[in-house]
Amino acid sequence: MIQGISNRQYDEELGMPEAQVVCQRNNVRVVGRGSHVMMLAHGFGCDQSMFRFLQPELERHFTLVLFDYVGAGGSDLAAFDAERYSSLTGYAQDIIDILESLELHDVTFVGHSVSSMIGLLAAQRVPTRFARFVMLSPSPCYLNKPPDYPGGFEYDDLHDLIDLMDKNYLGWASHLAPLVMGPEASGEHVRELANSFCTTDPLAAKVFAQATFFSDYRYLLPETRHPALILQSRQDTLAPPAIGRYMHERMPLSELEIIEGEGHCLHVTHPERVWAAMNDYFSNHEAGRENNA
Amino acid sequence: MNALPLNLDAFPCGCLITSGTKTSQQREVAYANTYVHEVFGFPDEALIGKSLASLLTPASVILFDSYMLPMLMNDGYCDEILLEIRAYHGEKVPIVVNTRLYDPQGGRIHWALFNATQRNRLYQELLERRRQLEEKAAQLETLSSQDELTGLLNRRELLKRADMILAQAIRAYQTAGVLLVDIDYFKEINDYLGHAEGDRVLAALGRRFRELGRQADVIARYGGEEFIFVLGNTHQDGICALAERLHAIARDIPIGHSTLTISIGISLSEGAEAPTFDELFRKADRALYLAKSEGRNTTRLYRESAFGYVDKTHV
Repeated sequence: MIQGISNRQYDEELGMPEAQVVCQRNNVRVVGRGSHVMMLAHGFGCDQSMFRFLQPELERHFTLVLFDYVGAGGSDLAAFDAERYSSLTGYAQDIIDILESLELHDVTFVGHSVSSMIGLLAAQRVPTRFARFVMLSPSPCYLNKPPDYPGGFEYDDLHDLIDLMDKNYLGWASHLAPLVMGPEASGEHVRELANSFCTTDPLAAKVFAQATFFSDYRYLLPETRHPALILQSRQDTLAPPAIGRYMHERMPLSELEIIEGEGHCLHVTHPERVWAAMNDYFSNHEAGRENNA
Repeated sequence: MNALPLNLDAFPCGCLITSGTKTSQQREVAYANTYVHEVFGFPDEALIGKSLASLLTPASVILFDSYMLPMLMNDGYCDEILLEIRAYHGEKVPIVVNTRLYDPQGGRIHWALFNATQRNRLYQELLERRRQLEEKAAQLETLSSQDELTGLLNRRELLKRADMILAQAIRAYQTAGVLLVDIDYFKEINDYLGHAEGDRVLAALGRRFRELGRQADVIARYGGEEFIFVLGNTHQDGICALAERLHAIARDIPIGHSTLTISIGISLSEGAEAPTFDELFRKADRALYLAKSEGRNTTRLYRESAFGYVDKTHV
């Protein structure tokens, strides 16, 4: 059902990148069955494998499009451009590239954390590609903006984060990988060495951290035109329920659901609750749509 | 053999258990041995019930949630992570932690942690060194791509970039242009006024070319008294107007009792042809040769025609 995954040729007139190029660049995987397409967008810190706990259930109902942002996971690091990815619009362009090259419309977009906002940015540019949003632990701004916005973090905290990222194994891993393996090591081996669960290039991760945590996209909220389900955990330092309420109050077609659970990765720690909430939301809206028809 | 009595308080490392990543309990400290209490200044038992979010610094919480927890849930362990703890009196203390997901159902996490103050200094120094190295590398890159006298790109950097600019222009169906500048009577300037004067003229021209800004994608000093402009998106009128400006710039530079003049040769990629940089350069060079042989201080545009290779009309 997804035509673009085949060898669609480079579209000279539109200047759109060839589907294969984009799919390789963003390590795109299409799995599952279902007439409706759902795109799963990972957040800061990880890659598409974050969805593996939620995936079995989703696969039974949807055709899933999974991908890694350039710089994360199995993406093509050579395509990383520090300038393009220094703001969330660069990541939104990744999403637009994928949707366009796979010729997808009316997609249900599931974004974890910062990807919720990246999805909204993409939807502003190409609204018809999106049908609705599921936002997992989103926040439009992580910084405290006095007097009335408690983003949760001060500038100093976020500078500390960059510092910690620099000092950590996570940050040194791929600097060291080629050295550890010796100069004759093949790219494949180096990749394997760095290919644990949450691989990310240190420079790319830092650029992503800066783009994410220093951003403020609150202005996007009232401009949204798509239905959205906001899922927030009861206890989450990065995106507390107050942020969920803030977003819900400003997003015209949104619903807010607080999930009984802690932490920022509900789809990893509580996949069954996340699916239950999504499923309820979808069923209610399907029913609503049929009644209107 | 008698079993040894187990005393976790005797270990010279922090042993910590936090509860409930998967349950609905708070993510809080369920157990901490004496090391954790003593090293970070907490009174006895003060850590029990403390939330993880208040024990770690905000940056560490982000790192925990974004990297460690997903790895723990997937692999069951996550080792050698540098975090910062908020000690009892509020000061930040770096720690290195190894973690295990002990009970996948309940989500209890076992932590082994060590004060890493010394190690952190080393990291800090390494980071500083790396920053310096990166700075040096950037300086070297500038040096290796720049012509010292004029501050323009050098020939090597030009050749590196020119093909890329042309390829882009061809992809976008744009007309690319190469413009060659040669200083008139430069040998005479050197011979009669001295090499220092020759260098001054080169530097002055280079500076004024630099100040042109984005009139061209690349401006380079190509050889002794030769400069080159590569334009990825231009047309005949545009590149000829640029040539006029360059003549005016040269005339502003006094030399002896007169002012400087230059000769210019131009070539453009035309229609659907996809020339290499070498071809465009060769054509511009022929046009330049004609400008020189026809009296200098003028511009010639290369054009294929039935009568010859170079347009003879003044541009």
